[in-house]
Amino acid sequence: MFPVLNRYDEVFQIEMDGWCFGITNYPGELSAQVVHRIIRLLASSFQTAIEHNVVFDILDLASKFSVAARCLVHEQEIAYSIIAQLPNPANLHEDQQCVLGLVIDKVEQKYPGVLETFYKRWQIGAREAA
Amino acid sequence: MVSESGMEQNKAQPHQHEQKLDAAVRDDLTWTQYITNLAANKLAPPKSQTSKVLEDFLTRLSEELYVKGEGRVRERVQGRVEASSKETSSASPDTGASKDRLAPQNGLESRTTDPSVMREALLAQREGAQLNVTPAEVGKLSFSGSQEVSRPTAPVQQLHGELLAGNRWIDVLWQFIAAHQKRLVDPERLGIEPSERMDIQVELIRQLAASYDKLGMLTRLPDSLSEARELKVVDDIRTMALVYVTRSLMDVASPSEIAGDDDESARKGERAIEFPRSVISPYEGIQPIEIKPMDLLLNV
Repeated sequence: MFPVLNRYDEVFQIEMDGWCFGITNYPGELSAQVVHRIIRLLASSFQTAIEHNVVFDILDLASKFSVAARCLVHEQEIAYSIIAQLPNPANLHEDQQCVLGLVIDKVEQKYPGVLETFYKRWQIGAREAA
Repeated sequence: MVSESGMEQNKAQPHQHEQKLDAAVRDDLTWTQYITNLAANKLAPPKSQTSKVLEDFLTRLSEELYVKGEGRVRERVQGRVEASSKETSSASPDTGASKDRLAPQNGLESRTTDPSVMREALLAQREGAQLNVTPAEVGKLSFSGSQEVSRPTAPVQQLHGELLAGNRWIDVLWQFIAAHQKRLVDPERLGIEPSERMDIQVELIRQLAASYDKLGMLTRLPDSLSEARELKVVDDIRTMALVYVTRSLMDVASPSEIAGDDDESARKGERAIEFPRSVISPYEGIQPIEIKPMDLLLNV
């Protein structure tokens, strides 16, 4: 296991709880697009968490978001959406790649095929970047 | 010779009419401009009841433009055909004479300022019906023969599809609203904050969408506005998330927690939340002045 840098796991936890708090207490009408837009906004937070060696639980996070959004979006869809926002492993260091692998591994165990799907996507992204 | 020239004229007229009709069908910009001007004239004066007027206008406009299922316009046209056929049969048995009477004012050349008549004329012509409009019967339609109305069946399906392309009209109206929004609801004049203006715009468009939704023409907001609304929702949620994060990081008790802290926590034996007290003396670093009683007495 890699040590968490700068206690970022606590910061990440508070931030995610904050977003769930905002979604839960939003008085207006929510939509799936809003939930996905928020997850897209969190892309930088996910990347920072991986860079600080935080192995966060995507399934737990997806479940929290799904409940906060009044089950408007299924947690599997949210989990896939979160993985889509994770950084390309080609742009990470070796340690960070291991952290990313640990993060995705939990999802892979529940939803097999996730890694393969996104691996193809990352390969395409790396090719385009090259 | 006179009769031959008259026959040539009669032959040339349908050809000219078809050309004009094709031009009219293709010339959507003219129709668009007409609707825009109509909307501008109707909507400009009552600024206070903007939404109501706009909704009424759109409802009326939709009724004029929209044909659902088999087509209300077609039903109306058929009703008028039956009425006109009854009139022609009772008034003048010579239908050829009535054809001659109606032929010179053929088609869209004599279309009036009533958009429903214009639209009906276009639709009826697309159905293949022979449409005649007389100046005396402004806004009324009559056909030279009822058998020609029931002739086409396949184009009706196409007609339905084309009319459902009323999304184009939504685009036109949306552009109109965007262009004249300041005239309809002047946020600056009303002193509405910029952050609240989006709400008004959204509400206005939602009313429009609702009016269209009743007619089955629109099931969602325009993409541009939908995105703006999403951004506002996300912004609100972000604000609440920041409140949560701030409170978590500062570990500050809420006013209710502080207010209820004295009684409940005292009963539970918990330590009351107190305001922080400084442990640093304000006089720290200042040396006390030593006053000797003897010196004091000597000075006196």
